[in-house]
Amino acid sequence: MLHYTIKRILLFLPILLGVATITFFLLYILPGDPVLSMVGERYDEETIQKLREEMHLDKSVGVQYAHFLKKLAKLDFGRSYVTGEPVWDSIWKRFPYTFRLAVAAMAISVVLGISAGVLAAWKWGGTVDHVAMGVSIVGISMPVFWLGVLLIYLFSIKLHLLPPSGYGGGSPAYLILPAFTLAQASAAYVARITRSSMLDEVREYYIQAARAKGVPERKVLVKHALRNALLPIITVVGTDFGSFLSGAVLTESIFAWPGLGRFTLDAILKRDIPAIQGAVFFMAVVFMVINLAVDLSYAWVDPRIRTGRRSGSE
Amino acid sequence: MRRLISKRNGMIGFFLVLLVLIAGIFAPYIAPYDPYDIDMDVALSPPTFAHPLGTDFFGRDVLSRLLVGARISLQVSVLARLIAVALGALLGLCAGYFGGRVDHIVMRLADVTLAYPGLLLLIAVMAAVGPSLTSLIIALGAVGWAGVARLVRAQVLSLKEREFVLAIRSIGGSPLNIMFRHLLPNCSSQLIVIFSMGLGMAVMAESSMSFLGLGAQPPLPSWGSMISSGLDYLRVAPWLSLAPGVAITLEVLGFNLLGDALRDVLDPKLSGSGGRL
Repeated sequence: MLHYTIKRILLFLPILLGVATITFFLLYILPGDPVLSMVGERYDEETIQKLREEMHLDKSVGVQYAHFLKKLAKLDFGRSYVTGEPVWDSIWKRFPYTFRLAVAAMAISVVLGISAGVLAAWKWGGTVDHVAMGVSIVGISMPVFWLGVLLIYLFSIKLHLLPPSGYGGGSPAYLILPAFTLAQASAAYVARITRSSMLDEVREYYIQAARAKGVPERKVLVKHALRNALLPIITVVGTDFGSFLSGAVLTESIFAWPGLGRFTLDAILKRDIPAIQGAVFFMAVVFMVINLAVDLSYAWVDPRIRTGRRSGSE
Repeated sequence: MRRLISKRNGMIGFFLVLLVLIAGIFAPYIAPYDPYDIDMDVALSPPTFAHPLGTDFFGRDVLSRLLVGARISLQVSVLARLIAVALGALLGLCAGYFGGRVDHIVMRLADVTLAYPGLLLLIAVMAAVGPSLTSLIIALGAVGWAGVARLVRAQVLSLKEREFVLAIRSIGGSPLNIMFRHLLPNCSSQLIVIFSMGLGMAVMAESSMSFLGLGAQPPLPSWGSMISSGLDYLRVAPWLSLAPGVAITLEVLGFNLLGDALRDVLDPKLSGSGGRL
């Protein structure tokens, strides 16, 4: 296990460097002079020159890139062109909001997705199965930002039940709509994966053995089939959690949720390069770390993966 | 084809896609009004006989805009997927065939591309190059190649050692000849499946980017930007945001169902469901 962990972490580092490189060069080509946009209309040559030197904008691309990596290693993303605040501080300030939304969405996705999937597998081929799978394929096909709009229209404008947007000082009422919106596609996908991996398990001999010795069907499904079907479900849930945590740009922008996703979008609209770079890099790293954790936990649970004896795996 | 529509879901998908295709191709002929025609007298009219889906804040007919929007959505998604599949197939073919350093570089590049969550890379690219439909098509293609390349590489690796390839090589077939005349055609069913399964995702990505203001720019009637510009009128004119969403959902649903059915027919080994961001 230790060997496998070290191998995975070593594989992780070049990808991290790749992500940093792409993030740097993408925003390097962004047109416009950052110094001019910082000082605005009233400027004198001296200030501009000084700022330019401070930000290493007078150096070559290579030097700027090296400088970017050096600062990155110290978790220094530079200062925002707009607010002048260190980007790292703003990211840390926004992250708890994104985390809160991600946890709520994950809980909804797991509870709804797994129960719908188990129900569909239990009543396989019946009406419940057809309805659950029909709803889930529509759920996967529905754009998340539109579901948000639909929910605001129904629950805030028509029924006056829930607030349409904002953080509301942390009151749970403000969390419900964004969390459901964010969870939608994930829940639908979890339901499909749960159903199909349970149906795979049900064909195994140990399930027949359990049935033969008279274990009640409900217990067979939940205690035996579901438990063994959990691995693929954990992968999906883990990856989704990673992408929730890495800032739900769409959901946060509809509901004016003050998290990282909205921070990124604001930075893009204001062409605040250090903020965009910092946020994009941070989110990609969070996503990668969660994926790595999922892979490692997967290998920990299933020894066939770390010894590479599973057919079809890399 | 017959096997495809003999399945109920495939049939529904086929029908939905056909509907969007007809709307997209014939939009200029069947649209009741000019989608850019401003008529302040009927601004924000609710659905009526004259305007079946109502009008927007400039008095433009929503149904006409939706029909023309279908064309935008189809153009972007099909072209973006073509770029992604062509790029991915080429790189995957090279990686699988040449192996060694080429393989290493291509696969690490794919790893980096796939290391970004969901739309994040696309958002960053669009922020860098500036919003427009052409940039969006190219960016979507450039972001979508990695999955295709992995698939083609794996397929090439297993084909490369088969007798027919060894036979061609032994009679002196050039690498280019082997790659494009023999290996690539053997990946065609997988390529068709991955092309179509990605269409729903591309539609979703286009509308999401246009919704965020990073894709189609006004006055183009992209479904995503129609939803976002209707948001300010959600209280008085909900049809502005609700109608385009139904259109997106139906199109993505159509592509997903059709993609799943195609996969079951052409390549049952692939699993999972398409259309996910």
